[in-house]
This record gives sequence, structure tokens and C-alpha cells, in this order.
Amino acid sequence: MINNARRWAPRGAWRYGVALLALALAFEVRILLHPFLEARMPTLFFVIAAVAVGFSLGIGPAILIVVLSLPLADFFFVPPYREFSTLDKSDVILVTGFPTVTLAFLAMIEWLRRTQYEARLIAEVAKSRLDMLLRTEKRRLQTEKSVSISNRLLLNFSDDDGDVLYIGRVGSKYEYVSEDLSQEFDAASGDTGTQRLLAALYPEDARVLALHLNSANDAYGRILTMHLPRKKAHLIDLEIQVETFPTAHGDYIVMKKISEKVV
Amino acid sequence: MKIQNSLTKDIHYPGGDHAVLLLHGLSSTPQEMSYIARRLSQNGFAVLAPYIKGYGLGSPCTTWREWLNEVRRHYAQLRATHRTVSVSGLCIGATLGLALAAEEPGVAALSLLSVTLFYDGWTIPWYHGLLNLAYRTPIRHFYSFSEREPYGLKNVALRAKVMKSMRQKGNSTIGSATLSMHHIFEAQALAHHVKLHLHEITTNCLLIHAIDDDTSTAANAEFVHAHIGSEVSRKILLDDCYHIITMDNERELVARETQWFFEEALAGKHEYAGAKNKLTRASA
Repeated sequence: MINNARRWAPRGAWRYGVALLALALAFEVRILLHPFLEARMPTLFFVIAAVAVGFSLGIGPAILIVVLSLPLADFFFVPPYREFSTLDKSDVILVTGFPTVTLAFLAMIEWLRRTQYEARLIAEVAKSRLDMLLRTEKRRLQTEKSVSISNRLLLNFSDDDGDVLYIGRVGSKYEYVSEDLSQEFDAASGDTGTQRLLAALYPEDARVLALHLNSANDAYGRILTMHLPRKKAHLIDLEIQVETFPTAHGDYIVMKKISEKVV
Repeated sequence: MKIQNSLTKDIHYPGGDHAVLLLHGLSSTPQEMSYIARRLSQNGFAVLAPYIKGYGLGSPCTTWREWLNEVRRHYAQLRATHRTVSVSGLCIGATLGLALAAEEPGVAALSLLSVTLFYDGWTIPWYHGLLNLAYRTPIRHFYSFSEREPYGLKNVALRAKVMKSMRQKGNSTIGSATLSMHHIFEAQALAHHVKLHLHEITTNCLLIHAIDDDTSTAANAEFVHAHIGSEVSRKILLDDCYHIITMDNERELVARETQWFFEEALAGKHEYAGAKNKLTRASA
């Protein structure tokens, strides 16, 4: 059993104050019903009070009720009334039976409450472990995606066919511009590679790409197909493929040539 | 003496823009935070686990306000040189972290490990509640509370090591073998202060507590979780450790969850849902 299971009850001395109030209430009810009950069931309401307090506030305040109610019940509700001088069968039954039965009830309630509290704590541990497992799984998936994206990005750095026109990190000056593309770039059109790239595209394509770069939660990136206009009007547009790679260290853009298209 | 000096030495790892202030427990040493300090440092955080005079092992007890001044001074130093500062504490160190966060809303995130507002664990004697009364009498000069088995540790091998050190030298990594009444009284005064200001704290907060904590029950974490003003409050209960969760069987898990919580706080990724805006499974 968990050692702290014994701490299931609320803490504080106020519990004993509540126990005294419960005792006073039980006494008041019994004394009101005394003309009707007479010597029958002298401890019934004290047992109810002790059990109710034991269930909600713990065994300590409940034992206080048992200890105080024993002389009260004997004095007021066991004949001869209002005196302790005579000791007869009724007194012996009360003094032995009432504490034995009530303490047995309280012991069982205490044991059940501790077991219940222990079960609640264990359930909370299980929930915490599930939450941690889910967080770990989420991190694992993110790492898996990141590795996959990085691997695909790395393939573009060994471009055997010479199709890669541009590689750059979004918002940074770091970029690779192929010789073909450098002729189409206007160096003055932006501080970062991304700005120059957007300036080189048709306005509609630039808008779509900018929108795509700003969109969140696209962990796998996306491939866009568009056309790159040439500076010299007689040259044909390049049909290009722009792919984004959202890595752990920033988003990368890779632009590849697909074919040349006659205008 | 030399051994005590090595125990009370600050732990400091330089790092990036984000710093973490680690606060050790009452009458203890920064060494009990060393595992979590290394883990955070390896993941790019600058880490400072200072020895707090008047609160830590071996120095005469001062008031809780002086403890808090010391913590505030360390926080200000880190704040001046780093973009963000998160705070983590163990036991009364966590309570100090809460007191700091109540004054400094700029704290990036809190990790409260075995937070202690009530001494109600299973090794605390029944008469502990009477110590406040005893403190008003001359008894306070003579009585000291002796640390007892299991010394906050479920790990049997580690506990044996600590026990040996406690018997031979009167102290160990987890602190002193005895706790003076001054320390206990000041800690309770600090806890009272924190309870009054708990609702004012808005810093994101992680609570990790052992269900069989021998010094403070999980009710402490539940109390903070229920009353703190933070929108994000994540509670984790563990079952394979006692009070010193930074050194015990589940220290790896404690360090990992703290690191991730701080990273999420910095990235602004804490998601929350539910009636009280407390973290739920949806955020996992």
C-alpha cells in the first residue's frame, strides 16, 4: 500500500470542531426523541454521527465523537437517567458494545477510504504516464518528419542533372543561385534571397508562394509548379518546381527546372 | 570542511539566450540539482544552481525574506545577460520559485518539483503541527528535526550512500542530517506567504510530485494546481520515487519533462483546453 494513503482526509484542526458540532447535533436529536424512544437505542444517533464524520473527515475526529458520546449516552439515555452511580447490565452492554461496534465500522470505513485514495493516486499516475507517452510520441513523430525532410533536402545538394536553380533559407541571405538563374535575378530587388526570388516570379506566382511560406502547420512542405519569366523577351519561360522544406532550423526553398516553355 | 565546500559550490553552465535558475531544497546543496542542470545544459540552456546562504547547508538560518532576496539577486543577474529566465526548484526551493514568480511576472516558466507548502508526508511525525507553538518557547534553541529513513530516496543503493554520509559527516548531497526549528518555522512562513499570493502568479507552471513523497504529499501539488493563476499548469504524478525526485529512480523523466516544458514555453507552444484552462490530454 502507498504510505501516503493514510493522508486521504482533509487536514486541519477544524475537523475536530466539525466533529463536536456533529456530536451536539446527534445529542440534540436523541434528546428530542427521548420521550418516544426512552431507553431504546441510546447510541443510535452517535453512531450515525461518528460514521458520517469518519467517512468525510477521517478516523481521528470520529474517535473523538465515540469517546465523548459514551458518557453522554450513559448519563442521559440509559436508566437510571442522569446518574453514574449505578452500574447494571445496560451500562455494561453500552460500554462494551457501542465502542466495539462503532470502532469496527470506523476501521472498515478508514480502510476503504485509504484504498479508494490509493486507487485515485494510481489512476492519476497512469494518466500522467499516458500524457508523457503521448508527448514523447508527438516528439518522435516530429523528429521522424524532420529527418525525412532533411534527407530530401540533402538530395538537392548533390544535383547530378543540373536541374536545381535555387536553394535558400527563408528570410536569410544564405542562398545558392545557379548560373542560369543568376541572369534572371535583379540584385537590387531585395535584401534576402527570398525577396529576390519572389521579385523574379510572375506576380500571381509570387503571391501564391508568399502565401504558402506564411502558412503554418505544413510540416511536410509542398511542391508548387510555376513559370519563371526571362529578362530577355525572346527567351521562353522556364517551367519550374518550387519545393519548401520546413526543417528544425528554418524553412528552405528549392527551385528546380522542369522544362522550357515557348511563350 | 573541504567536502562541505564542494557540496555548497554553485553549479554554473554557460549557454545560449535562455537561462534556467535552479533552486535547491531547504538546508541542502545545489548538488541535488546537478542531474537536471547537466540535462538542461546539454540542450542549450544556460544553467545556474546557486548555493543560497542562510537557507542552504551549513550556514546559520536567516529569514525567508533574505532567502527570497538572494534568489531575486540571482534572477536579476541572469535576466541582465539572457533573453529569458525560467525557474525550477525542489521542495522549499519550488516554494521560493513561486514566491519569486509572484513578484516577477517576467519569469518564462516554472518547474515545481516536490513543491512543499505543508509538511504532511508519511515520515513527518504527528507532533509536527505543534512545532509552531514550540517555536514560541525556548525549545526552539535546542530542538532540531532529524532527517530519517528513507531520506527522500526510494533508490536503495543511493539511499545507502546518503545514509553512510549522514552518519559519518552529518550531511550529504541531499543536505543536512538535521533541520533546525528556525529553518522549519521560516519555511512555513514562506509557504504561508506563497499561499496568499498563489492566485497572482501567471507564469506557466509544471508540477512534478511523487504520490509516496515522504515529506509532502501530492496534495501540495494539487493545491498549487487548483489555486495558481497560471493559464497553463501541467501536473505529473510519479510512483517510483520519494521526495528527492531530481536524484531518485525517475530523475531522467523529471529532467526530460522539465526541459520539454521550458522549450515549449519559449516556443509559445503550450496548448490548453478545459473548463479551468488547465492542460489536458489534448495538449500532450
